[in-house]
This record gives sequence, C-alpha cells and structure tokens, in this order.
Amino acid sequence: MFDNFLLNGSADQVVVLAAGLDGRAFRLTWAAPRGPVRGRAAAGGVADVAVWLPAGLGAVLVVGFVLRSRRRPDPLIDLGLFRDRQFSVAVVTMAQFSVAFFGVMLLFPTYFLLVRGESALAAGLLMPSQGVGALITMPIAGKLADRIGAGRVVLPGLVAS
Amino acid sequence: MIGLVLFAWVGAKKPYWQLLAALFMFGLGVGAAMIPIMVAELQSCGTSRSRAG
Repeated sequence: MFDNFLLNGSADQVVVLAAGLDGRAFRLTWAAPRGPVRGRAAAGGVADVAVWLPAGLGAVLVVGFVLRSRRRPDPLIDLGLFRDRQFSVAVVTMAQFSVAFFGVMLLFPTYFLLVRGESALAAGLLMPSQGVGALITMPIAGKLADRIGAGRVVLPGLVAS
Repeated sequence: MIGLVLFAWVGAKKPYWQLLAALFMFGLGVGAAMIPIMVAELQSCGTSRSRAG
C-alpha cells in the first residue's frame, strides 16, 4: 500500500507538506532560554531573521501545497472535503480541542514535578488516571454519537473535562 | 471544564486521591469529547465519498 502511495507520485506532496509544517519553522518564535539559534531568536523577537525566515518559508510551502493539491488528480489530502460544512466544523473543533488538550497534557507533569515536588516516577504514576477515565467513556461516547448525534455528546464531554 | 476546575481546586497540598479523581474526571470528559468529533469527521467523509460515487 505504501509502495503504491509513493509510486502514485504523492511523495513530493508529503515532502512539501512536512517541510511546511516542520515544527522548527514555528517554534523559533517562542522565547527559549537555551540553544544558540533559539536563544538568539528569543532575544530579537519576531523581527529576527532566524524567526521570520523559517516561519515565512513554512507558510509559503503550506500555501504551495494547498494550491498544488487543488490541481492534482491524486491529491495527498482531498481538500474538496472541506466543502462539507459538517466536516469543516469537526476539523476546526478537533484542532481547537487538540490545542487545549495537548497544552494541558504538557503542563500536568511539569506541575507535579515543580509545584508538588513529586519524583519523576510519581508524576508518571499519576498520569494514567486520566487515561483510565478516557478508556471508560470513549466506547460509550462512540455508541452515543452514532445513536443521538455527535453534537449532543461533545458538549457534555467538554463540560466534564 | 469540571475536571480542570477540580484539578485547580486540589492545589499542591491536597492528598493524592483527590488529584487522581480530578485527573480521572478530566479523562472522562476528554474521552467523551474526542470520539464524537472524530465520528462526525468520519461520517461526513463517508457522505462526501458516497456522493462522489
């Protein structure tokens, strides 16, 4: 399957998209205490060439990927799906949910280590409780979404989390 | 929201079980929110493909 994927000429699309979304192009805008490039970028802010050049290149590559995908007969991502309103809303909701969820996921262990003074082992042992909670509700939520519609399940879930 | 509020309320001095309960509540909500969003995406994908033939 993967061989077919590459033979169909999608490899160039993968390279362009991956380069455009490369985290290094965007994280330089964040202030960082260590590292020669990141430290310099943090000192100069967004006006520093080490910040705007990779970020700008990344944005250009993403735009190029979108334009090229619209012309190709076998696009890596079928952008026509975004014409479906339900799909677009779901993708935007998922993106926002991911920003909030993974942001918090980064903070939990840091909180355990720095504020509560736990060991790394204790911090690691505290984390699975949320996984157990998700393990319980995921199959139930899936069945409920099929039965009564996703919109009626998402809101209570967001309130509970 | 409830899970995170509980987590913030627990603070640094409260016992482990309260912390675990707050995280568990957060996990319940995450599971209940994430899967229906994915279900909606997949359903609309299937609808679009069947329309396309």
